[in-house]
Amino acid sequence: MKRILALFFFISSFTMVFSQEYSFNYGKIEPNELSMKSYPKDTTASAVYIYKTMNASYQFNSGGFNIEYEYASKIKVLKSDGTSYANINIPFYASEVSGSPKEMITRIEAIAYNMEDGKVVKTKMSKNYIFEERINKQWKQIKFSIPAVKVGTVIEYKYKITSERYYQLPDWIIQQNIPIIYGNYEVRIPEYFNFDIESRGSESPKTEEKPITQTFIITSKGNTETVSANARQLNFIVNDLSAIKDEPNIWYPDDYKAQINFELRSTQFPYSMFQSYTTTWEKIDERLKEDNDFGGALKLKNPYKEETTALNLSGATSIEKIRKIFLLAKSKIAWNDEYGFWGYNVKKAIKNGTGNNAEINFVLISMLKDAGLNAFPMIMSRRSLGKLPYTHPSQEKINTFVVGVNDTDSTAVYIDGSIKHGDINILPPVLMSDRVRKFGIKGEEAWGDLSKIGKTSVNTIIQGDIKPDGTISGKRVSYYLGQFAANYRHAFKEEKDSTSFIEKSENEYAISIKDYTHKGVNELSPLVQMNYEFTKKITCNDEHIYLSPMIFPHLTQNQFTKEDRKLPVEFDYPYNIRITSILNIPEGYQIEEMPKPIRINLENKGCTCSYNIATSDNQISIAYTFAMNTTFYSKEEYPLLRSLWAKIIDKNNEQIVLKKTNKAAVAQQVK
Amino acid sequence: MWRNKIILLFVALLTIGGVKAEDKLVLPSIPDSLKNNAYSVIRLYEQEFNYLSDVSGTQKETLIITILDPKGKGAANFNCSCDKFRSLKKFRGEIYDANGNLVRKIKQSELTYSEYFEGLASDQNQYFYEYDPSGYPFTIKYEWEIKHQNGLIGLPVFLPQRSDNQSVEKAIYKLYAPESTDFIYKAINMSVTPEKKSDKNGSYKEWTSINKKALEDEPFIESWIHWIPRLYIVPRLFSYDGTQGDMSNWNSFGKWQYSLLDKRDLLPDATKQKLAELTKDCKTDREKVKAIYDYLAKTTRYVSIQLGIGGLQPTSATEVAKMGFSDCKGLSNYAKAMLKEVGIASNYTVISTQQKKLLADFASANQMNHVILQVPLAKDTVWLECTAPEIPFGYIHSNIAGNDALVVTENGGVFCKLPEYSDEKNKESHNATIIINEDGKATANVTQTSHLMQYEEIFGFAKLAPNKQIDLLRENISLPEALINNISYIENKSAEPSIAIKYNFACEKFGSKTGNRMFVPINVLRQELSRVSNKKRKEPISIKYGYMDSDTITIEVPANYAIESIPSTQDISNNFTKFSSKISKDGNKITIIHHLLMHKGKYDAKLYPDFIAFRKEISNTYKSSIVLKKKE
Repeated sequence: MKRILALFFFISSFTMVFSQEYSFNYGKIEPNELSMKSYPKDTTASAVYIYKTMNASYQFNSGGFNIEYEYASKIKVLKSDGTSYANINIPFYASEVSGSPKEMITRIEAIAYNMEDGKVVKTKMSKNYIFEERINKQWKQIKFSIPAVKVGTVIEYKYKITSERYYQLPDWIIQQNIPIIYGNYEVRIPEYFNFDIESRGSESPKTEEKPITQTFIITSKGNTETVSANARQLNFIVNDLSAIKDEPNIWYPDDYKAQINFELRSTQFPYSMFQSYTTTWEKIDERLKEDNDFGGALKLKNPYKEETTALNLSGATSIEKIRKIFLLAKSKIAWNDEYGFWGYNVKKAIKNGTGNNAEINFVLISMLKDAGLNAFPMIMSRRSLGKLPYTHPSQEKINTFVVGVNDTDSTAVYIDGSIKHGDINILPPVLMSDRVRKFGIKGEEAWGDLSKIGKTSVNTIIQGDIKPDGTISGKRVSYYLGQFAANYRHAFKEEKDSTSFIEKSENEYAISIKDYTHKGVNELSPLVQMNYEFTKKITCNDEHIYLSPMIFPHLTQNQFTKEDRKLPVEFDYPYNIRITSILNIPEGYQIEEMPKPIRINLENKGCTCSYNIATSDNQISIAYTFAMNTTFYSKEEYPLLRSLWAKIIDKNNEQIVLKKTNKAAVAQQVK
Repeated sequence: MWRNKIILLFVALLTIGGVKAEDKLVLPSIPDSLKNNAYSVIRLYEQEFNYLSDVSGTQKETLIITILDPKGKGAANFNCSCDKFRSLKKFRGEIYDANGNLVRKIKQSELTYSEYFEGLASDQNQYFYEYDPSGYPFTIKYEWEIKHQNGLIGLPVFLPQRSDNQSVEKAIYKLYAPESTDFIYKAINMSVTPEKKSDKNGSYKEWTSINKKALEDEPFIESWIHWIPRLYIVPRLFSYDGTQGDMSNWNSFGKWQYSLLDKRDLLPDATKQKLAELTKDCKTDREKVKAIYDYLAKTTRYVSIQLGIGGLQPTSATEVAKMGFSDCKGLSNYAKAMLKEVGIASNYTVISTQQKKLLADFASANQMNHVILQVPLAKDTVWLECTAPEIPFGYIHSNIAGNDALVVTENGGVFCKLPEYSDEKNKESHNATIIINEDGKATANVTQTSHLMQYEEIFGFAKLAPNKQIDLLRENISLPEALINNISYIENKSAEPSIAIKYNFACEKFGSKTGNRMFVPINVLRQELSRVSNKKRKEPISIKYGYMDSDTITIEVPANYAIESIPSTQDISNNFTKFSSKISKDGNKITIIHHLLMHKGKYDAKLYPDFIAFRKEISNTYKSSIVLKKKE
C-alpha cells in the first residue's frame, strides 16, 4: 500500500514539475530555469533557447501597409561559451537611397536573471548599452550586450521591427546552432495578401491555421474609415528542436534547417486591381521581360560594335566566335567579384570598365546577338544561396543568370562574365546549379541542369626508372581538363612565379623537378598540359628496394575524419582521375612483392576507383582510375564515404618490394 | 521591389560624370631596380601634416601608385579609418591606363562607408574603395584630406611602404608647425633629420624616402615592419579628449595613463562584501589573488567598447561590477580595484600582443594594443590576463610572454619585460603502445601530455563535447582511418599548466600489407614539419616559439612476422634544433623514441640551407616505416 502511495506521489510531483518547467511569457521565470545545469536532450549545448518567438502582423499607417515583427527570446546559459548569446546583433534594412522602404527597431528590452543567495535577481539592461552602426549602403545594425551574464544566467530580450517592406515576409530559419525548447512564429496575413508558404527541414515546424478578422484604420483626405478584413492566423511551432551547426562540403546549409519560406503570390487591395506576382514561372518571365532592368537590358545594343566587327568573325565556328567575343568583352569590362541579376547599372559598367557578372552578361548577349548567335539568359540561384524552389515559383530566389548560346540547333553552351580561369562550359562552381531556367521558355522544357556541363578530368602518364642507388626518376605528363584546367591556371597565377609553383609540387611529392613546361595556361581553352622530369628518393638497403608505385598519389589524407555529420556532403562537380605509370625495374633486381589489383566502389557507383597492376619483362605498369560520378551524398551515406576514402588512401600507399638477384650481387663483387 | 530599382537607376545615371580625353598623367618610366620583385610601385606618396593647435590639425595626402601585377591589386585600394578624432574631409581619385590616359575619376560619394565593428561599440568608421581593372599595369591617384580634432596624442605615422612586393620611388613627409611646438621624432630605416623648407603655406620640415626596393615575403621571417622606413612624431606635450599629458618618455606617458585611472576603482558595497567573504579563508596574498581571479572568471566576460578616450581609458570598476562585461582595460582595472579592496596592490600594465619589443627610447600610445595586470607579491610577481580568466592562474600566455610592457604606477610608467618560459617547458609527449595483428589491424593506447604553450594549443579541450574531443584528437593521427574511444584526461591548471589525455584508437589497416610484407609506420602521432621554400634567403630566420616534442612508442608486431628493415638511428644537432630518433627491438616489441627540441631565436640567413635540410630530415623520419616479413 505504502509503495503504491509513494509511486503515486512520485507521478503527481513529476507532472507538477513538468507543467512548470519553463515559462514562455516575457518577464516570467520558473525556478527550474535557473537551477538547470544542462539540457538533458543535448548535454553538449553551451546554451539553450527556452523559447524563441516572433509575431508578425500587418498594420496600416500613414497611407501604407507595414509589417510589425515582435521578437522575443529566452536563453539559458549552460557553459562559459554560451555567454556569447548575450551579445546581440540585429541587422535591419536602411538603404541610403532616398525613397527606399524603411525598417525601424523599437522597444528593445533585455533582462538577466541570476540566482544569488537563494533569491532571483533581475538585472535590466540600460539603454546606454544599445548601439547602432551602419554596415553598408543598405544595412544598419543594432547591437547590445546584456549585463550580469555568467554560466547559469537566464537571459531574455525582445524588440520590435516595423518594416515598410510589406510585400516581403522574410524566411524564418528557426533552427540554430543551439537547441530550442519551444519556438513559435505567429503571422497574421490579411486577405489582401496571398503568399505561398513552404515549411522545410528534416525537423520541419508544425503548422496551425485559423481564420480571424483584422481591422485597419485608414485615413485619407481627412476622412477616417475603419476597414474590417478577413485574415489568416498561422502558427509555426517547434518543440525540442535540435541544434544544427554549419559543416564544410556543403553549398547552402540553411537549406537543411527547419524553416518557413514565404513568396508573395498576389495582392488584391480594396478598390484596386488584382495584382499577380508569381503565380507561375512563366508569369515571372513575363514580368522580367517587361522590366526595364532585365528585359530592357536584354535589348541593349552592342556597345563595342566597331571592335566586334574588327574581330572579323565571318567564317569562324560558333565556338570560336563566342571565345573571341568573350575575350573582347572581358578586356572592356573587368569582373568586380560580385554576382548580380539586374541591369540598371549596365551603362555604368560599360563606362567604368568594371561590373558584376550580370552586367557583363547583358553586354555579352548584345555582342553575341550582333554576331548572329542565339544567346539567352539562364536564370538561377547561386549554389551558395540555395536553389530555385521545386514547390512554388519564386521571384525572390532568382539572383543571377549565365549566358546560354546555341552552338548547333540542338546543343547549347554556357559562359559567364565571372569566368576568370575557365572557358566555355567551365563556369565557376557556384554557378553550376542543377536547377536553372532558360529565360522565356514555357513549360518543363525551360528547366536545365548546369551541374554536369563540361568534362572535368586529369590524365597523368608517368614513365620512370627505378635505380639501385635509391632513386626513381622519370617523366610526367598531365592533361588537365575542364575545372581542373581552371584550377591549375588559378593556382599558377596565385604564385609569384613558375619557380614558386614548381617548388610547391616538389614539396608536395618530395621530388625534385627539371625541364618543367606547360601549355594552355594563358588561353581560353578547356585544356592545360604540364610536362616535367622528376627524381625522387626511395627506401632501399643492401637487399631490397621498397617503393610506393603511386609516385603521385591521388589521395593521401582523409578529409572525412569527423565522427558524425548532420548535413549532406556535396562535391563541386563530377570528375575523373586517371594515372598511368610504367616503371622500369633495374637490372639485377626482381619483384618480390606486388600490391593486388582492386576495384573499390560505393554501392550506387556514385564513386568508383580501380587499381590495376601488371608486370612484363622488367616493367611494372599501373593503371589507376577514380571517378566521382555523383556529387551529392546524404548524411546517411557519410560513413560510407569516409571508409571509401580510407580504403583509397591505403591503396595509394601500398608498396612494392624489389629484391636483388644473385646476378647483381655477383656483378657488384666483380667491381 | 520594382520601385526601388527604378530609383537606383536614376541615381546611377546621375553619378556618371564626364571624362575629358585629353587628361593624361605623365610619369617617368619605372627603373628596373624598383620593378624587381614588385607587384606595385608607389610613384609618389606625399603626406603633409599641418599642426594647427595641440588639439587640431589637417592631414593632406597624395598617393600615386602603379600596379604591375594582378597580385598587387589590393595595393590600389583606398582605405581610410576615422573616429572621434579624425574625419575625412576631401577625397578624389583618378585612374589611368598603361599609357597614362585618364580612364575615369572617382568621387567621394563612390567610397564605401561602414561603421562595422566586431565588438559592441566603437566610434571608428571606414571609407573604402576597390578598383577592378580590366588590364595591367594601371596607375591610380588618390588625394584626400583628414581633419584632426579633439586631441593629438601623436601625429600620423609615416609608413610609405605598405606591403611586401611593393617598391617606393619617392615618399615625402611635410610637417607645418609653429617653431615653438616641441616634437619628439623617431625614425627607423630612414634619416631622422629633416630639411627645412618653406612655401606659400609657411615654413615646414621635410623628410624624404626614395628608391626603396620591394621586399619579399619569406617563411619564418620577423614582421616586415622591421625593414621598412618609418617615422613617428609626437608632440612632447599633448592634449587628448580634454586631458593633458607629457610624451617625453615612457615614465611621463605612464603618468598620464595613470591619471586616466583616477577614481575608477570604486566598487559597489555588494561586491565589497562578496570579496570579503571570498577571501576570508585565504592564508596568503597569493591565495587571495587567486580567489579574486576565479571570481572574475565566473562573473565577467569580454565585450569590446572603444569610444573616444575610452580607447585608452578603462570603464570604471563600478560600471564593470554592474554590467559583468568590459574590454581588457575595464576588466584589468576592475581586477585591480578588487585586489585593492582586499589590501593587495597591483599595477595596470600596457602591452603589445603583436610586437615583442617596444621602442625603449621613444614613447607613443600606438605601440601597445592590450592591457594586463601586474600583481607584485612578496616572493614573486603574478601577471593576470583578465580577458580570458580561464587561462590558469599565474601562467603567462604565449601572446605576451617575453614581451616588453609598460607598468603604470603612481610614479609613472616603468618599462619592463614579461618573463618567458624555456623551450623545454613547452613540451608535448606521447606515450603509446600499439599492438598489431597479422592482418595489419592495430589497437593503441596513447597518453598525450601537453605543457604550457602546447597546452594552449588544445586549451578548452575539457569543455568540448565528447564527439568534438574525438575529432580534435583524430586530426593529429596521420592515418586514413582511426576509431578513437575511452578518452580520459587530467588537467593541471597550475602556473605551469598541462593536460594529460589518455585514449585508445583502433585502425583496420595500420600495417599496410603487400604479399608477405607488412609496412608499419613508426610515428603516426606526429605531422611532418612544414616544408619551406628553397629560394635564396635574404632576411634572418626567426623562430618565434621554441618547443619540445618527445615520443615513446612501443609497437608489438605479430609473432609470425620477422623484422626485415627498420629505419636507422638518427641524431641531428645544429643551431636550431636537437633531434634524435632511436629504435630498438626486444623480441616482437619495437620501441621508437623521438626527441625534438626546437630553439626559438633569430638566425643568420646563411644558415638557411641547414634549416631546410633538418626540417626535411625530421619529416622523413616521422614518415618512415618498419618492414616486416612473414616467417616462412
